[in-house]
Amino acid sequence: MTLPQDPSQRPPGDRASGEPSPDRGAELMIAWQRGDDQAFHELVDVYSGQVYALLTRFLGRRHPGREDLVQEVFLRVVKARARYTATARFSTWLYTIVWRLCINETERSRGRRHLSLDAELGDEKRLELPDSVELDPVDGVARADVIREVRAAIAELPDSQRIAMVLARYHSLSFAEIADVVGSSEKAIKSMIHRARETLRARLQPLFEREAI
Amino acid sequence: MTPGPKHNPRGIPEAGRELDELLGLDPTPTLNEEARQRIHDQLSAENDRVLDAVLGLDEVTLPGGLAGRVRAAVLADRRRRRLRPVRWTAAAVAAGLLVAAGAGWLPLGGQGPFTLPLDGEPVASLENPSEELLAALPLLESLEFLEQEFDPFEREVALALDPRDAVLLELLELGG
Repeated sequence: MTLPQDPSQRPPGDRASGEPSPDRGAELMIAWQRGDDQAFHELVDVYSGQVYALLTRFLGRRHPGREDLVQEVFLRVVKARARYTATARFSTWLYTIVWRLCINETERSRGRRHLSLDAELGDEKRLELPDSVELDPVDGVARADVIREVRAAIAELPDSQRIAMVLARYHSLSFAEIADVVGSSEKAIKSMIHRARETLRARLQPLFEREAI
Repeated sequence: MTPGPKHNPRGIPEAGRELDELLGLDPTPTLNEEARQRIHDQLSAENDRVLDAVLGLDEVTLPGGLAGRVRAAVLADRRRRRLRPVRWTAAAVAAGLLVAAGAGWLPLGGQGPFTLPLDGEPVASLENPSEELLAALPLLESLEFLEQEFDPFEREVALALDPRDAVLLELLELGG
């Protein structure tokens, strides 16, 4: 694990994710190791949403049991309590656990999909629904279309590009931190994110003119 | 028949061609490398900004009460883990009880599977406790623990075991 990087090393599109600073997660983890159970409760309060968001963006909204996976992530945190050392941002360590679960889930899902009729019909995307899309009364339908397109474009990225892009864009991790999470090199991550963004740009280009930004 | 305008490949009349040649004197503007790079960077930054804005439209709505359910799941898991050793303890306590009953120390009544001692075996008493009874004493002290940690069904299961059960006796040997 590496320590948080210089902001200049953060990927394009990086933004503040609302994560507590400097590293509230690490502070809470250490407090919990010392026996403060309340610290663990706070840890769950602060990070369960981020874990859920990462799982949702990586696995997609149709994936069943995302909430169960959040629970599984924190059960693994409990098991790893004694082993944790604050050598990296807490979120980096946490997302490593999430990523391992994502890999397992992806493999399991591919096995399931292989057997499912949906896959044979190839109409999976038709069923992708824009849940939690808030419609604006004026341009609500267009906005929902845009969001649906964005989700579909992200879902079509290869796994490694998708996780790298999501961690960079939505969770504000640096190239080095993402490399730690997925067990790759910083250079490879840079390249992955560049390719992912190029793919997204090409795929979403028609929306750029439509969306008033 | 009057002759038509003089043919030229671009179809421009004579007067127009003169003007065209004149305009051609103005060299094609070219960008130097630095300016080209600057424009490229600006476009790239603009592309990034637009892409990020579009990506930013996708928000994840969290299910209500998520953190509470995660905490509950962790607590439930902790309880399950605590109960596992308790079950072993329960088996040991039950075995102890049965040995005690077998030694005739516990007044378990004269019916059912606890109507020990068997014929011909010496009868132990409070004044003259058997070795088995003494060995079982620490386990008997756990009765209170059994009462607190077990629900009625689990207690019933633990206490309804047959004292002649070879497995239990084996367990007692291993434990002790």
